[in-house]
Amino acid sequence: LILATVVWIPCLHLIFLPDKILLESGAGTGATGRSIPHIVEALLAKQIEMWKLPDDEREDVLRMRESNAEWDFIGRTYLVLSLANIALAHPDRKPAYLPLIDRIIDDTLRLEREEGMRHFLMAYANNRPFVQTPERSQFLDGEIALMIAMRQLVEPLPRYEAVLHDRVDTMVARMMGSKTLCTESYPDECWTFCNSVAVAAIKVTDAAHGTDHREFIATWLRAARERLIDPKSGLFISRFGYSDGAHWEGPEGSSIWMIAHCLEILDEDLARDQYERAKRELAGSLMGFGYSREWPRGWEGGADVDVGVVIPLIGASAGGSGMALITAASFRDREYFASLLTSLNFAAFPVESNGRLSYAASNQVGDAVLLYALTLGPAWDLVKVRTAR
Amino acid sequence: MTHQAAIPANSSRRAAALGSPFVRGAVLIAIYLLVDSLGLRKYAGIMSGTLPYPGCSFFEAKCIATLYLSSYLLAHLLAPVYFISGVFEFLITKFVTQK
Repeated sequence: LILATVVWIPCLHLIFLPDKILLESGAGTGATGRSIPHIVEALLAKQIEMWKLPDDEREDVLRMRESNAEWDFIGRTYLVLSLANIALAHPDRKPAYLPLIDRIIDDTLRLEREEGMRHFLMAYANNRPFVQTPERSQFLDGEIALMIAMRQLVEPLPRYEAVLHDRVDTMVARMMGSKTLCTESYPDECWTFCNSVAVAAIKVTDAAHGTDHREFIATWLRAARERLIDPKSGLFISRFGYSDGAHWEGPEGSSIWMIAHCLEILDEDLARDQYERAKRELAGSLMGFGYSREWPRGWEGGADVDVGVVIPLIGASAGGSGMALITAASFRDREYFASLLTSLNFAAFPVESNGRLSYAASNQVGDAVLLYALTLGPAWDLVKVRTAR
Repeated sequence: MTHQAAIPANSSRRAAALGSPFVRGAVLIAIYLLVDSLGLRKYAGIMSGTLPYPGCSFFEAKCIATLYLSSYLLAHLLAPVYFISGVFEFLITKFVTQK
């Protein structure tokens, strides 16, 4: 029995290997001209079905909001990013996806207007006032700007032009008015994730509307390199104080992967450097199952609601591994991408019925992140082409 | 062979069959397939910290998730080990013991 165990365990991953077609289609399954793999269609079908329901019947989202209101918002962002990428690669899908993108954006703007930004923030946003006034959250501003900018990149809609420019101008002004060129997501609390997304949104806006924020972006990148790098690992830290710029939390799996993905359209060399470092510090593989740690070895980081399940001993985190899928796809790291998908097939329990796929160990936001990892590529490629001048 | 004599022979054959690694592996896989076909897979997510499934309490959902995960792990980890050890036993019996 022991000998049989020694034979079987290293082979276990073989029955969970991802579809070859999925890997051969490259990072962006949206890659122009290629057919859309079944897993993408099935994930999309589930996500789209949810948006056909009235607000109070979206049980998945309502349950998720009870754990974390942010997830409702982040799930919207990643779904819009996915739809935009597919629409860019497959223009025949535009008539179906653009109205849905608009519905998600309009609904998000309505909720922000009617319920206030705290509708999408965790309860601790109420514990004290924001330092910068008037109070705003970079978490919302950045992702809303990114959603609208991606929509405009696919096909500009006149009614969003002013909305996007206002949001971008506001973000730039507030960032320029702060010590670290970053602004708060929560009271006196900045996240490199949110600020990277915000700057990426500004870059996508430049590509979509022909505006020029090169100088601001270069200044932000300089400041970020100087103030937000962890000296030990050379990776961007995840969380820091707004007032004093003090580092609160070091490099975190659920943040750094998305930061590297955003940097890809801002500074490719820096992005590659961060990806390589993050892989060294966080990525791992056990018997063919890939994972990402939440914290580098030796770091004593906390486990918050975004981190999800952390596997003892190896420190693999569900949140970090999910986000690593995005960056592995983004950097066309087929080996790591395949090993992460293998783990997903083994440990996330895909549930498919009537052509709709979701993962039992995930939730709507996790499924939307996976969908984005499977579809990204076309938008970032277009942004690079349009802004290469 | 009389009817009375056949009974112990049959039961010992049955006992031997149940002790066979192939049968043990097959039983584990059959249990998993049964549990999976009942649609219990959706409860597996409860272990990852998502909220209770509607229609049952958190405790009940956790019990169902434990049942599902146990059958899933046994079918994927232990059942193939039984099959492989069965193959080893067969090979040993055929090529080593017969010598």
